Amino acid sequence: MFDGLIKKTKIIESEIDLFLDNITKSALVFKEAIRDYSKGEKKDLKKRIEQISDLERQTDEVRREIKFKLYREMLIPDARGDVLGLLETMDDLVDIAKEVVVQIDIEKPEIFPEIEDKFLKLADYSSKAIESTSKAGNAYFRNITEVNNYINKVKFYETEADDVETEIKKIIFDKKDCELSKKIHLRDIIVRVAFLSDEAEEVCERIAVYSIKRNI
Amino acid sequence: MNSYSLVTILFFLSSGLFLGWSLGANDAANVFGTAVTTKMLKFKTAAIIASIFVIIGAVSGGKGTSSTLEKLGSVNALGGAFIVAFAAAISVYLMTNISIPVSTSQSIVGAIIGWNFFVGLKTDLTVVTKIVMSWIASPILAAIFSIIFFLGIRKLLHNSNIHLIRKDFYTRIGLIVVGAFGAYSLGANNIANVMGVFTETIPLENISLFNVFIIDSKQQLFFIGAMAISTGILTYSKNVMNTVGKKLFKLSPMTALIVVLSSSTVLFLFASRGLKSFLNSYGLPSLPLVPVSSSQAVVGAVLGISIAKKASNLSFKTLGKISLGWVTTPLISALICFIMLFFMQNVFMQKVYSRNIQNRVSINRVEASEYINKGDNYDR
Repeated sequence: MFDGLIKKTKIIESEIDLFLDNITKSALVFKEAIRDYSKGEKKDLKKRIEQISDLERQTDEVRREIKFKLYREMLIPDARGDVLGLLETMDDLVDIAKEVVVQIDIEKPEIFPEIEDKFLKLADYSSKAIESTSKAGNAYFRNITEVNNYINKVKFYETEADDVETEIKKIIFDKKDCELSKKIHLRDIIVRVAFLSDEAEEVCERIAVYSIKRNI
Repeated sequence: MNSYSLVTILFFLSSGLFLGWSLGANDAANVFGTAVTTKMLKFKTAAIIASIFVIIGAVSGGKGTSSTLEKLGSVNALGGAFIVAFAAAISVYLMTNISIPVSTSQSIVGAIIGWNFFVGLKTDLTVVTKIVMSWIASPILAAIFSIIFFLGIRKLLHNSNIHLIRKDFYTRIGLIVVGAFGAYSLGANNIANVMGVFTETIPLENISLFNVFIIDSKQQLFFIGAMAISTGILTYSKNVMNTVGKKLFKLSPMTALIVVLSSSTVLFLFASRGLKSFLNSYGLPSLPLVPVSSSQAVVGAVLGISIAKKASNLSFKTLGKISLGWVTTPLISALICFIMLFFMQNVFMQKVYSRNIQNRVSINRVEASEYINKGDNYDR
């Protein structure tokens, strides 16, 4: 009886680890994809899109598997809702990251040289926010005392991302020799990239509440 | 077997069996209520574990508290024993109906005192004081234990970095082990409430199992009583578990484990003859062997957790209700017993007290006193 249960427990633990690893990988692939696009490395961008699409698919499958197992084996009945909510919102981060990369690939916005560095910086902050969210998630499962540490990092990256977003918008709309339609298009992309850090912060707020509930 | 026929014994024993059934239906919820309602354990698993360990606890560890009740009043006629147990059962029913937390321990003690009054025997106030002090001490001790266990387990969990899913696994095992211990302690501590008053009146032949184990008369009665408790657990405790788990105490599985561990430890300490002898042999203080209320120990343990969490929801109303139970339950039970004994003796013409065997009873009392006083010397 116990052997079977411990085996199932270990499997779910490793699936949760895989899920969180995928979130971190997605963040890194996202950052690389933005860099590839900015540098005009189209071949590499295609590869990144494939990578992030695979990660998104795999993350979805793992999340579904964890969900069914938690219900089927009646595990963590008191925290099941929280865990599933957490995994779902974290999964959304990967979905959004993939959507942004695909959107950039399809719409091909023109990244002005004046904003290129800041654009990369923005992508870096959003990517770091997602990475730290994944670490906060891992801490929620393993080491609850570390959760706040990562949440603070996410908050920092989100604020930084907001600042860079505003700076870029100012540069875009101050630019004289550019059509308004291009400016608006670029702004949309910037907003989407910055939105990732906002979403990461939302997830962290959930983790903060769930952690309080997890304290015995 | 003595002069009573099997039918007579079963008839008179029925009040004790009813009391046992209601104890099983109500008190199993204290042990497994949260585990079942939070779906950490299936009711069937919980009920089977509880039933088995209640029987083991009652048969192997029930004699300690039973001897204390004998010291309070040796009910020595079958009719009297029937009424004492019946009055206790009715008191439990009435008190539950008016929503006062009630314990079979308190009602049986009241009923025995009522019997003493009716037959004109003096109630030993030293024993009464010891019993009442134990009732007061049990929730306090449970609160202290739960604070210690809570802080210890919280520190352990913080330092060990156990994965949430693995913690769930360990909690499940913990709930089963602690639940089994709780059921054992419940059987050992509370079987005296169910069968204690019959031990003087129904002496049974010893049974030898493979010439290794001897099951004496008391143990046979305790086994029958424990079967009644198990029947209560299997047939009716699910509803009570739902009430206890969902309405009264909304606990997480981990805090439920701490509550059950604390309250069960208290019940065990007040029931274990082995532990008492062990402590006494080293000159250490020990607790008297007294049937205490498992529900009140649980309330004490929950309050302990509130204190440890520095939560401000310490309910003085709940404490007040418990204190009310210490006084009102025995009083009502004694009164009901007194009235019922009158009817039993004068309307149904049944013997409720036997003067012929009073000498034997006195000898038994002296033996019981000697046994208990051994521990008392250390208590002082």
